Amino acid sequence: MTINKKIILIGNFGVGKTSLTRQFVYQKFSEEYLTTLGVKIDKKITEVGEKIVNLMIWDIAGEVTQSRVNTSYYLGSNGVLYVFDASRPSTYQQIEDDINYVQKVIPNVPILKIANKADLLSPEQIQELPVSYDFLCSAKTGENVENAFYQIAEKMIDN
Amino acid sequence: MPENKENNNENALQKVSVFFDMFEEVLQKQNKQVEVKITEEIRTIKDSLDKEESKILEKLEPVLEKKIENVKAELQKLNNISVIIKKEIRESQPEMIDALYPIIGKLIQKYLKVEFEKINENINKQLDNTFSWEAIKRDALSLVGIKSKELILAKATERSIDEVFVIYQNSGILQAHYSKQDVVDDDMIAGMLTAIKSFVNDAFRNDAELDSIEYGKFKILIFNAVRFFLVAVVSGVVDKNFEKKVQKYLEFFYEQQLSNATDEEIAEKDLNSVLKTHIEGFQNFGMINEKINDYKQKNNIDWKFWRW
Repeated sequence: MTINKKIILIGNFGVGKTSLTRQFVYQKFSEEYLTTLGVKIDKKITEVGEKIVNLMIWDIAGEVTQSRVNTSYYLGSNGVLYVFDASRPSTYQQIEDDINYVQKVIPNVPILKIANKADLLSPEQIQELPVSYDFLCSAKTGENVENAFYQIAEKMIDN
Repeated sequence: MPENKENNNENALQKVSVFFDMFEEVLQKQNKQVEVKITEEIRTIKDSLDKEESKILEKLEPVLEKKIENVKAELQKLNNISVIIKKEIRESQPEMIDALYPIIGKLIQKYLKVEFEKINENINKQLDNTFSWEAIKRDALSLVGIKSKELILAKATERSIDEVFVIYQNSGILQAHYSKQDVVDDDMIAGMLTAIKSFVNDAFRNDAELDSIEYGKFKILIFNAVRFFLVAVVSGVVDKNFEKKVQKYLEFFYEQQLSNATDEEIAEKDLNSVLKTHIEGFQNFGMINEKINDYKQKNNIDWKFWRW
């Protein structure tokens, strides 16, 4: 039996949300939708245990706490990937506020914090990162991308 | 003798003046003669000019006529060319159509579609207006009285439901899909439709829901329920009545299959095939019933006695 789940990717501008999805799925829709509609939807079918999960990935443009963000894109989602750029502190300074805000809009939904652009940091810098994260990924090298999506899929099924 | 001398002088002067007078007279006379001669000369020249002119014209006339003939002949040739072109077009109609169709075809299609929609609406209006006892009788006797009219019209203005999506509100997850042909990826289309719907709602900060989108010869009709929204992609001549009918039919499906079922129950159903059967039965959806109901509502008559 196939299970359908909706994941949203949120985070500041330029943190690599779209690149992460590009790593994870073969994209059918043009990225132009992101600028026109503020969202682009992709699909990935994964297997979690014996279950087939149909992941609908909503890549949402724009800052999280900006009032102009189309929060109705958040509605009905089963999981959240909050993405930030590990090499730019400005992209994770607001992480707590942002996540609180998301939890308010869609309560009881698993959220994973993704530190992206790991390839830009030295091992020492990574050690000293002043922010907690669930996955350290690189959309460029593909490091951990698959794992992050897989884990959110697992969490959504358990939820 | 100075006095004499003076007299002599005076005489001499007088003579001179007389001489000058005479001279002047002569001169004047001569002038007149010259004048007369000149005018005569001019007159003769004028006369001769007139003659010359007519002579020249006489000479020119045939030349001009020839020229005119030539021009006429050229024009005739041009006419022939246009006749040939006309003939060419007539003889190679298929080629011409092939060449022109992509350019004007779409315009014509759109135009015809709109015109048909107008006609359809007018006819429906008239049908409603002239829905008399006679019409009911005729309908009841022939059973297909109104239906046949509508069927003829429906054939002429063919329209159909090409696709139907049953989608969860908000999450945009597709629950069931009916399609005449394969589509790119129905899951993603469902998602994008949801995104567009949310976008419109948010952008205009409006409580009203998006209920139709029009593109080219297709229309996307949306029936919004609480948990789901149902989307039909229709093509052909889609007028308001048809739209209403499709919306009603979607609502009908929702009430029958979705409104009272839990998510689990819905997931267990083979909703795709249920939807397929439902949509395929659309053509026969309440054609006569609708009319009778309309009439009942308008006239508030108990119709039971009519059912023999």
